[in-house]
Amino acid sequence: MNGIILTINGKQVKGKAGSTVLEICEANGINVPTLCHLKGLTDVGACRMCLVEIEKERRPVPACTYPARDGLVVQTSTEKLEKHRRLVLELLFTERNHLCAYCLASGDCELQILGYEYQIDSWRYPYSWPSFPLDSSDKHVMIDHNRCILCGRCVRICSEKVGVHTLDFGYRGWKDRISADLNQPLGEASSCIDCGACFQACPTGAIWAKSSAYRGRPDQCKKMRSVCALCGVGCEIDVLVKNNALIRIDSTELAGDRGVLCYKGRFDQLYESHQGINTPLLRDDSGKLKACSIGNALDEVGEKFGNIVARYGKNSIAGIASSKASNESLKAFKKFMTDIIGNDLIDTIDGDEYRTIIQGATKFRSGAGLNIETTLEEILKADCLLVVGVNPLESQQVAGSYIFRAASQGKANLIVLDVDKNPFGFHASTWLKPTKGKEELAINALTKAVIGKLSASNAVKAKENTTSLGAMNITQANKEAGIDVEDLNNAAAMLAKSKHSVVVYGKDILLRKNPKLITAILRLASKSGKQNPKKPRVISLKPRGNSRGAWNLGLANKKEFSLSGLTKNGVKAVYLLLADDYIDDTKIIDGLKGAKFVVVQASYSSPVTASANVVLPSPTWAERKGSYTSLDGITKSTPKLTQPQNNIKRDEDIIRGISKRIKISDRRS
Amino acid sequence: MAKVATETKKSAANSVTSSKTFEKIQAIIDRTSNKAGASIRVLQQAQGLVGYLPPGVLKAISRDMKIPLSELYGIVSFYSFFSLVPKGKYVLQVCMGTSCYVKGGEKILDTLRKDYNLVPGGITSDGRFSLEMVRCLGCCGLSPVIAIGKDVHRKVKPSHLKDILSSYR
Ligand code: SF4
Ligand code: SF4
Ligand code: SF4
Ligand code: FES
Ligand code: FES
Repeated sequence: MNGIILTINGKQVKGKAGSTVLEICEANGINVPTLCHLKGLTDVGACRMCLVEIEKERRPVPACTYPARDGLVVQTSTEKLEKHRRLVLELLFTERNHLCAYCLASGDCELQILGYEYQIDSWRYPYSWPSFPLDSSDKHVMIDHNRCILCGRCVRICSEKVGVHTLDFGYRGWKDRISADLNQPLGEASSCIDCGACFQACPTGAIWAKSSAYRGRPDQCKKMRSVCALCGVGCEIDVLVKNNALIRIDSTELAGDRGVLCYKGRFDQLYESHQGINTPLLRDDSGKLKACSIGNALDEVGEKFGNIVARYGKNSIAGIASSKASNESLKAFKKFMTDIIGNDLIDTIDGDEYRTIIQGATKFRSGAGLNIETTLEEILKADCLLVVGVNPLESQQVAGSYIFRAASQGKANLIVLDVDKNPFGFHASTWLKPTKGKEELAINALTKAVIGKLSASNAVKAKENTTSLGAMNITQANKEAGIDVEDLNNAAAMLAKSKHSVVVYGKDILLRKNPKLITAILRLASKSGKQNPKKPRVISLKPRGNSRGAWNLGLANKKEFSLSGLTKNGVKAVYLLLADDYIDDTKIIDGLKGAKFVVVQASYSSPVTASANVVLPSPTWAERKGSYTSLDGITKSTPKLTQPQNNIKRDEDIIRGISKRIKISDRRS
Repeated sequence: MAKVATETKKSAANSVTSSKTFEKIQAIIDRTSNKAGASIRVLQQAQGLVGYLPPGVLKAISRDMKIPLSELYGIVSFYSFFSLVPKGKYVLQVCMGTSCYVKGGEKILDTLRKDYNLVPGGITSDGRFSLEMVRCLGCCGLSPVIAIGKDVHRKVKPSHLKDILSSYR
């Protein structure tokens, strides 16, 4: 590390070469007021609050953009500077509506804090009575241009970190304002992905989240570090809680990686979308589900499970878990099935996807498992990206942002291979659009084309020409797969010459349940430029928040698993751990029909709980302490954020309650 | 909210502007896009071609030059040279300077809105007139004043509008 020494306010301070003066001040605890600066974003020097005096500079300069050098002599707080800062604030208060008493951000506003600090109680210029529109067209985000200070933080976060560049400055001078797409209301701006990053980045009350409005200021809330468990990206979050309710969810490091969040993680979790279950339910003689005590419910489950095992043997109970549950719940569930019931008739709801991935990976290279996959951060380093059969903006939005970022900053060529959608618009250099059902052929044709573009001396090429792809006629294959030859050749050229390609696939590919597709994708990736042929950079976007966790724990069955098949072949009872997943999959509901006795442990009422004999309550993500594993294998934990109603017990405790009530002696029959 | 593209570039059609125009815009982009300040040059030429910059044209430029819509809008709204609305065959300016305002400029605007469905920034349905408000045309003694193209009409009463406008074909 290259150290430099500066003199700031008469004191010698050390810093890293390559930092700005502001960064060195911050690292040394020297306070310099800022407004347009936000750590992680490019600094633009727009607001002029951070002006400092530097020896030999004729005029004050913005600390946020001034590169620090060895030997600089800096003053951060002279009379001249303070007068200047006061003027900047006065102008801001003159220009737009900063009448705090009527502002949602009051108490949580960087401008207000500076206003107090500089004791702005009047301003020398006439007030401008701004009358900009209020844009409340978006589902989640509200923009009040009258409170905007044009710092551009929203513009920069939207383009630099979210990657979609919905926002920019429109007009000029007094009319200058933030504008979305073609100056459309935000709700109609087609490029906006509703992530809310602009809201968190805004220092004032100009951008607001409807879900948090009027529900409590941050300083009235308890702030807890947690992890979003919705989709497997595993974004780290700060949750603000007041009166046992989630008020607001922020990203912990706004401009850091995995730091922008998505509308689901940031907003949707603040609303209860399904009817909660806060008491155990037991089906009575008339066939209706009735509330009962937890003791009664556990007695019933223990007795029935015990009887069924005694009568039909240990292979008469099957267990299915949702990979939305925490690692702790899943561990307890698995232990219950293997140790107490004594069988391996367990699976996760997304077990098919697991088997598809694993079988595909094994065929690519024997012994390969989930570990063959790479991490999401690799996307940001990529120079060529291939996205196959998935819309990450729907399934794992922050992963989608990574792709946008890599592609829009001109670092990566983006290729989309998808039957019917291109979520990345013009950011995609090429959209290969195979006919439905011909994806495998298209991928193989692309692989062959890539091999053809690699240098002839390449050993890979020689080897591959002897395998199944060797005989393929690309033109013919393309015709069959419905792909434009020119597009395919372009894509192949990009992949062949890339030095760091990453392939991302997901939902639509996994739904096909065809391991050959996975093998084809891995093989394609391994042939692209500069890949480790044994461990190509590939990521699968998995179906649920904790899929990787559940699969790592061995919850998903290695063998084919069909609920209806099992109930036909002697399984009498099914135990479903749904936790806070909401399931209305008819395949599961139909599969349950063959069982005599169904126990569902869930946080929300669903068609599945409606078909149960006993419903056991389960705390939601917010109501329990637990850990979750991201789709690329990083485990993070969350504390209990809110108190569950009726003091619902943790899944582990309920499972232990059942275990205790099952007569062990019956078990070994 | 984000909309997902379901059509390729080749199949994208637009109702306002013909596909011939888009081909021409594509050609403009092809010969301009690697020059400095390409976006402004392309916008200028596209406006020259179409007369103004409708959303469809901006979207095509955004897509083909890979420039976010918001960035293009920023440019277009910054320079007064660019127009997002079509201009009529004749530009009708109504003076709203102090004198004209006091003498009934507003009534002229009212009449244009009621009888011709013409509002400031708008255009008549036959495309003959587009309307702008201006501040003082420098003949306050003869207010209220309107200008059509290079002609200035003085002491205009709402009832004169019919005759005045029908003299422009
Ligand atoms: S919500 Fe996200 S995508 Fe939409 S404007 Fe704000 S930062 Fe951009
Ligand atoms: S909306 Fe907020 S973040 Fe965006 S420019 Fe205005 S004050 Fe800054
Ligand atoms: S991307 Fe996934 S983990 Fe991140 S906030 Fe959204 S749902 Fe949560
Ligand atoms: S923080 Fe440096 S100019 Fe705004
Ligand atoms: S006010 Fe209309 S011409 Fe001067």
